[in-house]
Amino acid sequence: MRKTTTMRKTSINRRNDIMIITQDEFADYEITQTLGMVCGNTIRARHVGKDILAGLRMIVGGEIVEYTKMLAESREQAIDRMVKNAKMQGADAIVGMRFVTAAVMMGAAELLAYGTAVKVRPKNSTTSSNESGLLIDDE
Amino acid sequence: MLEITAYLILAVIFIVWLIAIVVGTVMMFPFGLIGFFVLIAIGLLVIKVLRERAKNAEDDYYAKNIDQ
Repeated sequence: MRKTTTMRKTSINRRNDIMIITQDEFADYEITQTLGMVCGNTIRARHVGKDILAGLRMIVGGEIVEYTKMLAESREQAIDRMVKNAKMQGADAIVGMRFVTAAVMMGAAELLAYGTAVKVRPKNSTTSSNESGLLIDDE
Repeated sequence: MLEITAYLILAVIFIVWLIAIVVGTVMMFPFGLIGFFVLIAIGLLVIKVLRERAKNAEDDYYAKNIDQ
């Protein structure tokens, strides 16, 4: 069975109770404290057999699924490390999250996830929402 | 299935090639000892890497649970 990361119904990703967005501000929360930059990175590679397969795929063209999976693993691990960093600082959320990638050697890429860790509280809002003013839907 | 079969064949060919190299270094004694010890050193590093990977639960988690 193919495993996939689920597409969330709302615009806010939440991991380990930390909300992560790529915007600088929340629509539904206000930032009460800025804690600083947090980041997480990883460098991953596939094993030599998958590298050979990936090289052979270049003959026929199309998606190199071995490297797609490698980068997906890197992305998830980098985010998890960034979130762990944010939790250690006592953050509720990460804003302005970005990814940066760099090739380190043949078949291995670094993926860095970084953002600003903040503390937030729900805004007093007149928009329709549940009691706590949260519009997000946990997985 | 095709993939695993290919890996097995490659692994067998690699082992045969490695044995040929080791025999070659031994036959070229005494100068072959240099190559022989290089192979031993690389082999120890490979064992270290394999052991670390086998114990790494974090890598197993991401390899098993993340597809794309």
